[in-house]
This record gives sequence, C-alpha cells and structure tokens, in this order.
Amino acid sequence: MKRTRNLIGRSFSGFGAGIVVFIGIILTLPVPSTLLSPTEDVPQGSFAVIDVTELSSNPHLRHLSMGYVVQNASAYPNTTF
Amino acid sequence: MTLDRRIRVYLLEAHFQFIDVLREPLFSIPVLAFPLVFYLFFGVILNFGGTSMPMPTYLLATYGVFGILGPALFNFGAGLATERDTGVLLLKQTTPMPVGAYFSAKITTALIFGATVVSALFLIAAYTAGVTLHPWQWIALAGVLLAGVVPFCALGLAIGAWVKGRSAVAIVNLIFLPMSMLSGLWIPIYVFGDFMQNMALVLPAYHHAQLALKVIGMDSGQPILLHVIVLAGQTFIFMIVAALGFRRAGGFSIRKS
Repeated sequence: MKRTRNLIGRSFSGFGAGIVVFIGIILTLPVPSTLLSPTEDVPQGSFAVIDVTELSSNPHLRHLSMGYVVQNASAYPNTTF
Repeated sequence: MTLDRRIRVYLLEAHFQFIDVLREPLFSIPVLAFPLVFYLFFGVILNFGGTSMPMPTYLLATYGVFGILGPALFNFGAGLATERDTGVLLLKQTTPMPVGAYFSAKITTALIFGATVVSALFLIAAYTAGVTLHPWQWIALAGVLLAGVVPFCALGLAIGAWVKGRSAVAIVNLIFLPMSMLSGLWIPIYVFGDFMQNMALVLPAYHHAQLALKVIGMDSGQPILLHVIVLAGQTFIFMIVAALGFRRAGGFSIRKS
C-alpha cells in the first residue's frame, strides 16, 4: 500500500515536472528581433525581386541564389525585373 | 469506486504504460529519434537556401505533426493488437480497472512522447536552424501539435481493433509512412502532381499539418473550420470502426464500478 502511494506521488511529480519543463522550454525559445529592439532603418536603394526562371539563362544572375532580393537593380542592366 | 480511488487507478495505469513503452527500445527510439533526425537532415543540413529560406520553419510544423503521429499510431495500433494477442488485455479486463483507465493511459503515453518530440524539435529549430516565431506562435504551434494526439490515437485504435498482433507493426507502417509522405510532412505538398495533392485532402495528417502551418502563416489557404470539421468527422469514424472491431473480437466490458 505504501509502495503504491509512493508510485502515485512519483507519477504526480513526474507529470508536474514534465509540464513545467515543457512550458519552460517554450518560454525560452527565441522571438523575432523586431520584438526585442526598435525597428532599424531600412537601407536606401532600389530593390527588385528576381524572376528565378532567368537564373539559368542570364549570365549576370548565375551567381545569385534563388529567391534573394537584389539591392541596386541598376547593377544588372540587361535584366528585366 | 470512489473518485479518489478512480484517479489513483488512472494514474497508476498511465505510469506503468509509460514505463512499459519506455523500456521497449524498438518503440521508444524510432518514435523519438526519427522526426528529430529527419528535421536535422532536411531542415538544417540540406537547407541550401540559407537563412532567408522559410523551409526550416515550414518543416518545423510538418515534422512536429510527424512526431505526434508516430507515438499515437504505434502505441495504440501496434500496442493494442499485441496486448490483445498476448492476453494482456484479457488479464486487464479481469481486474476491476475501469476500461477508461486503459485508453487514458495510452493517450497520456502518446502525449508524453509527442511533447518530448515537439520540445526537442523546437529547440533544434530555434538554436540550429535559426527559426524565430512570436511567443504566441510557439505556444499555439505546441498546442495545435499536441491536440493532434486525439485523431491519431483514434486512428491507431481503429487499426489496433482490427489487425493481428504479428502484422500490426507492418500495417501501421503501411499507413504511417505513405500518409506522412502524401500529407506533405516530409516535403511540401505543392511539389506533387494534382492527383497526389487531391489524395491528401482525405488524410487526417494533411489537415492537422495545415492547422499547424496556419499558425506560422504557411498553409495552403483553406479555412480552419474545414480542417477542424474533417478531423472531428474522421475521429468519429475511426471510433466507430474501432467499436466494430472490438465487437467482432468479443469486446471490452465497460464496468460501472
């Protein structure tokens, strides 16, 4: 009977500790930096989103990764953005 | 049976069920390790696009569903079938334990394993893949993922009620792995053709994944209510299938004690 009571106590404390650890982990997870500090100034310049189908054919864009935003679109004169 | 004694029985059964599956490495290691290893591989190591790509965030939600699906299906599906075939279930039915304690213990065990996988996934995503979410998104994602235990346990129950113990693991795998793939849990569903995308609409894992993706704004745009209604309806159907399976096998005698 005493052993059963101990097991129930251990089960209760185990469940409780598990819930506390789970909530603790969630509370320590990182949040976007915009929530932690004031918004910084966005760098000035012209921006363009690349059509990724151009990547294979256009020699000016071969070094770029898919989906990246290009600053200073004028640096790519032969490209239609 | 008094309420105090009933709670004690429920707790003890959950305790021993958890210890039972924890001591079974063929269950505990795959269900804990597979989602984490897959996420590390596809979400972190193969993240070719750099930190600007949303892939690690997307995969956090879908591998979270994968991590919940495994314990629920295997613990209920394979576990129940094996316990019935080995006579453990019959032995439990001869005791005064309420039948609800048995099912509650299985759900609790799936929930503990699921919460462990989700916690580990969150830590890996946050500190190795650089995933950042708003606090409400972390909490909501965890809640949505853990709620998936209900429909998946119902599916596991339906499987466990019908299949034999020896074939249970194979049959659960036959459902678990294709459903994970077709629901877009490993790779985004939009890379599939139209036919396979349409097949996903009948899978509970797809709808659960869409709810999880809705939290991080990466779902396919269908309404929340649609996913909730489909999941609730499927849970109900799985319960009916399970009840028919138990009736065929001799059934559970539900005691009023």
